[in-house]
Amino acid sequence: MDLQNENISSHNFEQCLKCTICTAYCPVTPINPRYPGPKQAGPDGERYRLKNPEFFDEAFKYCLNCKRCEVACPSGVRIGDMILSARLTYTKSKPSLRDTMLAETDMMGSLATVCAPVVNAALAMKPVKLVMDRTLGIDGHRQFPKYTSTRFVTWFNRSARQEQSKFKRRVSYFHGCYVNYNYPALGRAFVGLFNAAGIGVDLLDREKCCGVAKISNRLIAEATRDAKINLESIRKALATGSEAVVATSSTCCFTMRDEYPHILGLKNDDIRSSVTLAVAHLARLVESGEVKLVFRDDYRRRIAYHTPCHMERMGLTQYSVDMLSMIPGVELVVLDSNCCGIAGTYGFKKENYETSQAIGAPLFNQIGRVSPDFVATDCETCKWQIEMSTGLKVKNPVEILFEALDVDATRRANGLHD
Amino acid sequence: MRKLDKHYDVIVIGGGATGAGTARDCALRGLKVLLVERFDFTHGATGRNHGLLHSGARYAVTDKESATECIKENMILRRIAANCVEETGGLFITLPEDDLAYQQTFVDSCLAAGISAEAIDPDLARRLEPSVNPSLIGAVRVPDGAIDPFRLTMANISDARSHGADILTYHEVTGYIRTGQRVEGVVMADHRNGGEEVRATADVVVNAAGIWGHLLAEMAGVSVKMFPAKGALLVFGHRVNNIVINRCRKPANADILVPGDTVCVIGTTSDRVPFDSVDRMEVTPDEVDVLLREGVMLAPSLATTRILRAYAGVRPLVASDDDPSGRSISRGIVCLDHATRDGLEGFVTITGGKLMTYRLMAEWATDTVCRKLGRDGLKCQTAELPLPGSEPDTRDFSSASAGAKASAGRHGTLSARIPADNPADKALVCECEEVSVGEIEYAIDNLNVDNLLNLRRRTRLGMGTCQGQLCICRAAALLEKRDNCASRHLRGIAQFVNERWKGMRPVAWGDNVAEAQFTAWMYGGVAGLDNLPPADEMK
Amino acid sequence: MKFDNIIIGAGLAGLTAAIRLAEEGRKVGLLSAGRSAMHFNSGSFGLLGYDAGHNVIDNPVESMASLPASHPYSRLSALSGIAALATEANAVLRRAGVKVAGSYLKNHMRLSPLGIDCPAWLTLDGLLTDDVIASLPRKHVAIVSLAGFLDFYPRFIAAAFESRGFKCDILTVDTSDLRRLRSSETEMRSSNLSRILHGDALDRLAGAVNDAAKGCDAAALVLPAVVDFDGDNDSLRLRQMVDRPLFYAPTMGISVPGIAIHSRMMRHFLSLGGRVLNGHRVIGADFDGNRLAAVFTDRLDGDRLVAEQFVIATGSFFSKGLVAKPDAIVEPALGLDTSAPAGDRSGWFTADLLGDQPVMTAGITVDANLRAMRGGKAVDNLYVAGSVLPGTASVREASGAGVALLSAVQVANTIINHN
Repeated sequence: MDLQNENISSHNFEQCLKCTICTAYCPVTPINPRYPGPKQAGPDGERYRLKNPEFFDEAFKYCLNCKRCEVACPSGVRIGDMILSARLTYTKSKPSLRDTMLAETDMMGSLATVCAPVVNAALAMKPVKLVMDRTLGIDGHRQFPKYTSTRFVTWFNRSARQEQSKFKRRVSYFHGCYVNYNYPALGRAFVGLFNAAGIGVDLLDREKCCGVAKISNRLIAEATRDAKINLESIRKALATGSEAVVATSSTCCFTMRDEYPHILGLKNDDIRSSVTLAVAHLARLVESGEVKLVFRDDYRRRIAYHTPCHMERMGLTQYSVDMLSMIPGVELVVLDSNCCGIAGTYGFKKENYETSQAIGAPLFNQIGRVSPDFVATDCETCKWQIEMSTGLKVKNPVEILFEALDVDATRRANGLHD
Repeated sequence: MRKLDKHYDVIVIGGGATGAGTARDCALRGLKVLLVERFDFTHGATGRNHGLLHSGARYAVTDKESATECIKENMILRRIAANCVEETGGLFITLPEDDLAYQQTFVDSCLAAGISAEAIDPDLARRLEPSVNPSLIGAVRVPDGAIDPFRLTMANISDARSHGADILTYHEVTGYIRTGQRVEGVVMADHRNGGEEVRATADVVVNAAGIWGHLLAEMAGVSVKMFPAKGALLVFGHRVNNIVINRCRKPANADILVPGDTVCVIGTTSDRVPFDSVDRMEVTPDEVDVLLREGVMLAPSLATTRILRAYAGVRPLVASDDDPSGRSISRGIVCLDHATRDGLEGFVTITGGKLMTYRLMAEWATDTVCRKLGRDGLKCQTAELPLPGSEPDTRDFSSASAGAKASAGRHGTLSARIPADNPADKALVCECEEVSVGEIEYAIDNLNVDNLLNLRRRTRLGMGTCQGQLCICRAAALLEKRDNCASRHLRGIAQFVNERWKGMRPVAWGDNVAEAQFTAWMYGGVAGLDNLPPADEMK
Repeated sequence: MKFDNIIIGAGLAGLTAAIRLAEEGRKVGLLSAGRSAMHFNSGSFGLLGYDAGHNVIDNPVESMASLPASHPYSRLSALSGIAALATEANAVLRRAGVKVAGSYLKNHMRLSPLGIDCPAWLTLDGLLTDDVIASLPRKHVAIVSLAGFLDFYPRFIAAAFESRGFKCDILTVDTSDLRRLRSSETEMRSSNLSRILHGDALDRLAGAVNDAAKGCDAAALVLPAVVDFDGDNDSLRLRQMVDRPLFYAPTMGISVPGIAIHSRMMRHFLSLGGRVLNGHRVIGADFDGNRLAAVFTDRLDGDRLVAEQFVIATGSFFSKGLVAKPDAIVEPALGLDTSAPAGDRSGWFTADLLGDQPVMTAGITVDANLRAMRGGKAVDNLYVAGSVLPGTASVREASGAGVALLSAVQVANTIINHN
């Protein structure tokens, strides 16, 4: 019989065997009983929603979209995608002002960096935090990431762009909102690292926010608009000499690789494998011998690596771990792969603060026991959460690699002389 | 031997829709009624069909009388059985290989039978029902719908009981109490008590046993020639369509796809089978292939949609000629007073017909009973009085739990009686079909539940994707709480697993094999139920 | 990515092979396509529980003599001997911190979640077995259930004790933590209980159990096995806090003792420097003649995962190690040869799902050294372990864990000795 050789259903929901393994790895279910859990919100509920959309439950908003259910599922069911899609399809209310503000990272960033010192001071002020807490529902415990006064892109155009023409090999850098508006130092480290390895860096023609915050706050039209611009820019970059489009944020990378097709329905098969994480790209080049990295002798650190949820889902953790392990003076402890609880804008919402911290507690405790010099992770929101909750500094692997790099020796090893 | 004290006006044999409807009608008219069923309600053809609320359009060209009956009953059921009916609408589609000219004949015949039938643009059909075969060249809209035969039957049973009827399940009629040419009661075997003989007397006995009515008539010494026509169907794991899709051509194999509750059903085949096989219908690989091949013509996505199970029912058709397929035979109702037909007093057979006309069949049977009892004046009210649960529901479910919404779908307004005061009641036993602890307990208390299979038929427990893998042990423990009979309910689990497996086995590939292995592992390997001797539903 | 050895599948067989190789200093990559079937293990391992007629076996090793030559045990017996492999498997578990008791020369009986006696080889400390029950000083136990928890069956467990002449009390405990979890309609599951019953919550549970058992004269208490998700000794701690002997009975569905075993083994593997790639499904391979050169996963954009030797331990149908198409049984990851019952699908199954099912003996075809066959030839460096091996209906004969452990040790040793 030529029929029934495969089972196709949206997000593979019919492949669910009702084994319940997903519920054992959902960070929310044991903490917040109002959340129906991935199995019920996902494949169980999907059958009923197909019958009658009234079976949608507003409590699905407690889903972190961490996708740990999907990693755990032995049957390949895209549970997290299914829940997120249901939220996008069936939620009746419009996104609130608070959610829109949190989601518009691009716009808020553009506005804030113009007058960064004032905004930073204001966001840190008690009365302002109180107003945000009371009227907007942004939890008062949260520290907003500080806005920079010199955006990464400004720095790049002013100080780095010109040099890039010297390199034959090129990658395009998807810096993301965080590097551009809040933490250009990471972007500078990335450029330094790749340049030392003999690889030039371009920026995309037009880069918009990857859309992760807009998607999780249901601003789908806006997310789709931005995604299309990004996809167009990525295609153009790959067609004009970039060997890959790389990101330093695991979440930006994940969103463009997986959420674009699965959630926004935007096909990206043609470019998906060329959009990756900077460490992954570098690791492949190091393994193939195309790139050599030389590290400083005097770099001695005890580092704990935290696996961001979307890193786990992308399956790229090993690259970060491998790259950090390459540094001779680094003693690397890989923490148990647990959600930190922030999940992007989720943890900023007042109604989620307690859940968020309870979810992260095992991770924070383990970090305390490990007692590293600092923590490494590939996601900026994990960074905020861990810094706020443990008091330790958190760095991106790219930053650490650059910090530990013997730049001159690396340049020489890669045939750069000047 | 045990004899029931009460003398009844009427004993109805058969716990399908017709028997239940007849018991209700009799009870509503004030008769003293006993309904007896050899296994469980809906065990026969009632529980093994499409669940299609026919508009009658399917019969319009070939059998105007059936078509007219259908559309009348269709409109009545929407009123009185609102909770059992889903008003999905239906499409009759014409594919390129079909004769488009037939469409006009079809529409004309529908209109002549009083069925609204409107030819629509194929594009509109594709928009209305995105799963439909996109290559269709014609489409007609008709007032088809879905009807849940389990709910429908139980609602009739419940109403009969609340109007004084007595109900006995697992009581099989093995003979009649007779005086000469008069039937005065029935002799039964009580399967729950080792087959103990039970006797009950009545002025009239109604044979409403579907295909088994043939044998019951024989047992009474009269002949009602029925012939068993097997119809096989496939249940898919979820709804691919929300509108009934039919093929606009002369009735043939697998030309109806019905969305019902959380699933959709394709069917049927039609083959004459020998009488000795009617108690063990199994779906063959050939039938599965035919159903699939034809099914994908209606909705191409069926080619890759998970199939949950296959099942077959036996149509109780009254033989009128030698047609081997049985299709040209009228679905018309046959109501026989054997006193006038065969000289046997006190015995009535109601047969033929179909699920759609169960109410009308019940009305005819009850009219006959009343006439025989000399109580002609009692009026039938079943076309007006809503069934319990089907009264208008004004509750707000916007913030209700999934379980509460699902149980309201199943029990209608009666779901207000389901315990939900504390969290333990609201916990879900069956997570695929959202059946709560409270609903299970409600069913045990109110719906003639003795075992897990009864629970399934009352609540959809174990009817979802995992076919009971997760929930059956939970439900067994709740049953055990009532009678402290652990070993019986442990055997009941194994029995339930195998009852589900019977339906899965003909379509055991892909995820079903994974599911079956998981189930066998949980209940055999881990729980050790394979160490218990097997049991069947009667014990 | 380059490894010395790559193990495809992180269930009991895959983890065991991975641990053995990592213990030898190999750089081992463990590919896991979703969490394994160990999550449903009730804390006992079967070696061989039933014979062909489904009679309970007393001495597994002795009974293996009558197995057909195609059975994995017959092959393992010829390669290394069952006793040696069983001893070594037990040692691996011990080094991983999995505390089990039992002998490969004599089955004991474990009490199933539904209170039925089932033959077993090894059972985790603290779980109910016939030995435990026989050791109780008085024939009186109290079964403690958790209010609102639907996957533990005190009445079925009690029936098992009562059939042995025990007096059985059934107590129910409740705590604020349980109430909170119960307010969810679905999530009061064993696994979620074990994730909240730590620290203070475990103290509260112990207190509630002690209170409930006050005035009850039972010799021992039986509690559902719902603590110790991470294999962190919470089960031991609870036993210490409860003021009389406490034993655990497994629950239905997802099972905490199995998860605890998985957690301990996984942690042991990681501590040996092992690398785990979670959520990676192998979707293709690069063969170089009769050698497997590299595998590809669905997450790595065509990156080659290269190793000297590979082990495939992808499990049976549940784990997608095998897939039943309507007309054939296939191995989906690498396209390896499979053995399945002859004829079309109508011969795969019988009417009693819990009885013998011919298709359950399907597996990847192997040579005498447990190397996988592809296109009729053995792949030089690809070994098969666990329930994806052919010739065993592991659920029916209660041999799944034994086949997994012993075959994993065997293929690991073959790989170690090869170099």
